[in-house]
Amino acid sequence: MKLRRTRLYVPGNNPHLVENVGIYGADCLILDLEDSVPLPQKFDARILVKYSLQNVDFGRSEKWVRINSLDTPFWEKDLREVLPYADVINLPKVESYEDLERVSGVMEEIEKENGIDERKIVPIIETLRGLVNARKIAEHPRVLGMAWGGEDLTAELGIPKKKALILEHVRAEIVIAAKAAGKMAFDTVYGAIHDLEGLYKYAQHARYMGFDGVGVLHPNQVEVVHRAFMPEEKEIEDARKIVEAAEQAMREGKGVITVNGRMVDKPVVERAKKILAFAEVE
Amino acid sequence: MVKNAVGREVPSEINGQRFKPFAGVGKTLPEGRRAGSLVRMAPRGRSKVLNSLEEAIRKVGLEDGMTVSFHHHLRNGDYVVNMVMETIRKMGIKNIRVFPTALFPVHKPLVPMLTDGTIRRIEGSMNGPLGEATSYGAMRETAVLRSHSGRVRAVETGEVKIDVAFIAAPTADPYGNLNGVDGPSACGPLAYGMVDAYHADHTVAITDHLVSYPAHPISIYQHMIDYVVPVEKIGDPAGIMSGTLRITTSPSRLKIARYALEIIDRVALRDGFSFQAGAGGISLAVTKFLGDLMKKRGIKASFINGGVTKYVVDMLHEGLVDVVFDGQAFDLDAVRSLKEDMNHIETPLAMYGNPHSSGGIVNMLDVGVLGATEVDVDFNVNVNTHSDGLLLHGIGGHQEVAAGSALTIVTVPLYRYRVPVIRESVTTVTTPGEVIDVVVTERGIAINPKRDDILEAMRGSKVPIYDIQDLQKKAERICGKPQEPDVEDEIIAAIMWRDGTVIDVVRKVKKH
Amino acid sequence: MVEAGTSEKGDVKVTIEPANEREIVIKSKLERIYGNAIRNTVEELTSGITAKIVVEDMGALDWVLRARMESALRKFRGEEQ
Repeated sequence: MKLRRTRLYVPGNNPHLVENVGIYGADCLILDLEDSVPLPQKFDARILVKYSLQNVDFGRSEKWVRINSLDTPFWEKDLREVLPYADVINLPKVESYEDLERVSGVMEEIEKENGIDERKIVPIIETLRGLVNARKIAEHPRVLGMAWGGEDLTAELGIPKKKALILEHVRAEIVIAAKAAGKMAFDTVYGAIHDLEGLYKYAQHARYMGFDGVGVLHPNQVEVVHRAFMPEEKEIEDARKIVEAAEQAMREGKGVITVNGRMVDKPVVERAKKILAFAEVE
Repeated sequence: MVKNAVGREVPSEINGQRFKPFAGVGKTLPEGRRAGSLVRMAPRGRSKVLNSLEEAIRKVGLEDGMTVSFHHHLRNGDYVVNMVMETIRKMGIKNIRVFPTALFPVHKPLVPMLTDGTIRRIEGSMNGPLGEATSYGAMRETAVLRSHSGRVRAVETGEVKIDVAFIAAPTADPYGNLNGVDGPSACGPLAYGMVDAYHADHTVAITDHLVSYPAHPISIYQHMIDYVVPVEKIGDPAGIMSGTLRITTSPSRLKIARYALEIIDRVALRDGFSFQAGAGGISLAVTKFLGDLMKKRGIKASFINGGVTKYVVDMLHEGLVDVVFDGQAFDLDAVRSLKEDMNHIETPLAMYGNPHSSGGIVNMLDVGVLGATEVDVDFNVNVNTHSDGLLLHGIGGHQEVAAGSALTIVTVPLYRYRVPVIRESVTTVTTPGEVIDVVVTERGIAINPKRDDILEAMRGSKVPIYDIQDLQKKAERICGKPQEPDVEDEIIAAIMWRDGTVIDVVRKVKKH
Repeated sequence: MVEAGTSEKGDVKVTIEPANEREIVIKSKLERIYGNAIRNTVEELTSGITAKIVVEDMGALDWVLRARMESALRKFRGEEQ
């Protein structure tokens, strides 16, 4: 199972930050062409990101690029420049299944032209409309997982983001939408980059909400989040028993898996496998 | 020219004086007896306080060709060197050998004196403009660079004879007792000046804080000081003290510090251990992290040798270390602690690490964490020249700490803004690879093959371990192959190993 | 005149302006260490172009220089941003 506990954002037009970002062990890197790049630098940034994807050793991190949203004149240019070299496209402000179809169409063209595999999308749900359509969006075959952001959404509601109570509901909805479609779910970033204790609690909270990872803005956050996603000893022990029992049942050709005399269902086995996956790295 | 033990061609004569080539660490043994200074007297009732530097220079009889010395506790805030040298120039005294512990960018006014006949050469660290001017050939004779304690050795053996020591004194009394912990230009210890006070033929203290007799505490004693010259200001506090030094915020530098910490943890961390602290960004981070780890583990250090900063002082006051040895204070917390805490001890530089003495503090160090401008595949370190060949830094205590510590770690980025730090061959050898145990970069570490024990201790660690050759190749792959420095044959500076042998030379850089 | 890149450390700023003669100006603190490499890359990427090309290097790696050159050249050729 590929872990995506951390996705580290790096401004796409800053070569000094980009050239070093591979050393922090983040599961995924997001080379950002959107919010961290001022308008006059959009052109330079997408070319810089293209070159970085071909020249920088990003270690074991998966290479994501956050392109500009569909309501800008940039998204298609971004795709044409970087898609052949990126693993995943992070797409902001997705509101509907049709949005994905539009992007997917262009991606298909580029993929054909370059003779490359199908790239995945991680849509970011940032509006109420997007939230309403999240379950449908998650079903799109290109979707690897669902991410979200609260700025626009709370603005739509006219409430301050810091005090917004609705965000817990949004989190739940994102997880439900993603998981029901068999996709991953990604929680948003923790902004207080110096508060590592707060981050640890935040990441644990995300894990117990059902998220597979959180966004990180600073390299120092990576290790803390990975620690927070590390299952507890008891969880690991139980998971081991379940997975062993499942393997034994498989070997013996039994249809029913039992642990300590109790029947265990398939989702429980899957959960156990996931816990072991989280436990075995680092 | 002969090839020395690190493969560098070095001269056997510099400025008419014979020197041996570097033969390996600990291979050149001391000879002879210690040198002495002129015996002089101060009859009862004679005042030591003079009205001007000019009067002092006249009284001590400074002549053409003589040697004057300075300490660098006032760092880039120092006014004294410029003040004294300008007076010497105005008095028409020529061909002076300047023998400072270190000079800084603030001493740029000395540059024209290299060519107007006032200064024939500088023997000491030159950080910045003076080093650059020297690189381009401005100095008439050859510069000689020594480490902190290598300089002490040179004075004690008579290799360098100081005619007049000019000692900047943040506090002085009229009879020549000096300290650095009080006054508007407080700097902490006066460790660098002690050897000069003891061995110079004549000594002049220059102060902007004359207090009534006796000044106390006393760092440099009255019986070594001939004259005291009060002036308006000896320095600019903003350049003397660094303010509160901040731990690096660069995530890649922090990663280096964390790797270094893990090595220390696995190899050396135990109750009663000791370490060298410094003021560089990575060094501060290591000190801070080490303090946190010691607290967590309930470990106490026996001593820290510094390079004292607030972080070291905090550890002393939290009971994480018994004693702080202080040769240089970097912030006001350090100055205050030196003044108030009897476990914070000012150490003469002769005690710090003179290899030809009955043993320095560095011989008792378990861990030393050092920086570098370049490191090569033989673990040789350069802290003196940039990769373009320009002489821009002194040796400091690098050689002492590297040679003394049981575990010597060099923390460096793999490259700095395209310039590879790990190289095939360093531009200048400051410290030989035989005393460097581990090189730590943000992309992984390299362990000196002669330290199997460290390799063993790191087994099972997640810190990536490479052959140093692989780190070098990695750096070159990222940066491209650097051009060789464009230099002429002319030697502009000699780099001395702490035992007085020549470890390398610096050549004149061609002007483009 | 077109411009690409920034004056941040680790970056490089490239400007190209029309001129009757080909002229390449390279300014870098690393002139003595990577001057030749920088010049070679710029020559390689601009051969046959008659313009004034100014490269102000702040310690950029070669791929960064190449990215900024491509940016500048595409702008110079009139590509819409």
